[in-house]
Amino acid sequence: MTKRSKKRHSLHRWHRYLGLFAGLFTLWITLSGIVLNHSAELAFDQQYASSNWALTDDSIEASSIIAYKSANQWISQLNDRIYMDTQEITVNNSPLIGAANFQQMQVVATTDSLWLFNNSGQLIEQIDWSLMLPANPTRLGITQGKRLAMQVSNDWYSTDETMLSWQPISQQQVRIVQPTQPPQIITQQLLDAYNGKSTTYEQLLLNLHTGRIFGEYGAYLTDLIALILATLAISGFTIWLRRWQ
Amino acid sequence: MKRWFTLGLLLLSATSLFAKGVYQTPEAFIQEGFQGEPPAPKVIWLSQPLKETLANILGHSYRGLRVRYWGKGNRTAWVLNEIGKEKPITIGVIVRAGQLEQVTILTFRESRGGEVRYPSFTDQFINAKLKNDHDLDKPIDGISGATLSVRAVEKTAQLALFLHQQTPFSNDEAQ
Repeated sequence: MTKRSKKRHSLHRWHRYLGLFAGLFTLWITLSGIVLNHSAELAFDQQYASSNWALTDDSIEASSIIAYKSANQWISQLNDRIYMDTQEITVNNSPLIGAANFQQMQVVATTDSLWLFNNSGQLIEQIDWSLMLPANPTRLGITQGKRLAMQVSNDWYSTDETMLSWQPISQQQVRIVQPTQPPQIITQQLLDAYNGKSTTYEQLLLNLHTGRIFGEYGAYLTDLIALILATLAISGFTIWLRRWQ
Repeated sequence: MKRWFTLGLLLLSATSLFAKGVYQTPEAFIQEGFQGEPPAPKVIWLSQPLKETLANILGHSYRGLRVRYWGKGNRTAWVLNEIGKEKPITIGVIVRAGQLEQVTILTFRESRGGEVRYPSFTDQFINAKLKNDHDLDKPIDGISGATLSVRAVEKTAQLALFLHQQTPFSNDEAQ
């Protein structure tokens, strides 16, 4: 066998083995990709995978709950979800910094927004802090006059019942609202509510498509398959070119 | 080799990485909209008929019972959120005399469709008015691959024009 034909034989062999190896994964990636393309039509973005095996990194534990007792209701945050008792009232990534009942409303403060809900969990208004305060606040408090107050750096500001304007006040007038651990029964109901709604079928498919369902290194496996497919395209073209010549 | 591989991966994901972001804070938008002298904010409480009209415009019910705005003369400014595919896009809109003066994407949170933030898209809205059926009176060219984000911006522009009509500042249209 000449040196040239040895080289050609070797390229053929590598092309064949890489093709066989990548073939199985290609089926997995293409099928999951096709379904993902139509996930909205199939409503996969609104249906939740409830089996334990589907709940990968997104499932959560009791220690992750941030909760405030506001009048007779619990306002809690689990990851990006905010609950009134066990009812999900909004989705927000910014940390919950306080909640209080004010003027017959549940006032929920996250680091980026002020959320006003009625007592049945219906949103009245969401207001970006940058529209009201000089910077994002860190704590919520109640003044001696039962007004709402927010701490920005070392300063405190309070507002009237319209919550349209905020005025500087002295810290002595403020009782800071502190987070509290909710009762076990609320904690368990929150965890059930969250874990049952943490992974949509679309997310599950996406995890499957990108390889992340296999954990931290799954994405590298998919990268490897992508590189093998790119290599196959090049080796296939080279083989075809040599035959054509 | 590792460096080139990383660079390649970064380039591949660049579109989605660069799409997300805060482009202007709502406060800066309002300040700029009123040349550094913004009026005090006001609110519109949404009655049931108003909520029904908003739902017709948006294609889903409006989340909230009141809407905050800023008004002076014949101009009103609005900071509204509308979901593109999964996450809210924060959009600033200024209406002058019943016409759109400015549409700005303040925060974009989705991984796809961020092209709506470019002036080449948002400038199309300038001078658009609301027709009787609550549609815009001029066509808006879409962006391939950003259909849902385009739709969210259009709906928000319509919403701001309709809400402007509900404010006392719409009575100053002749100014």
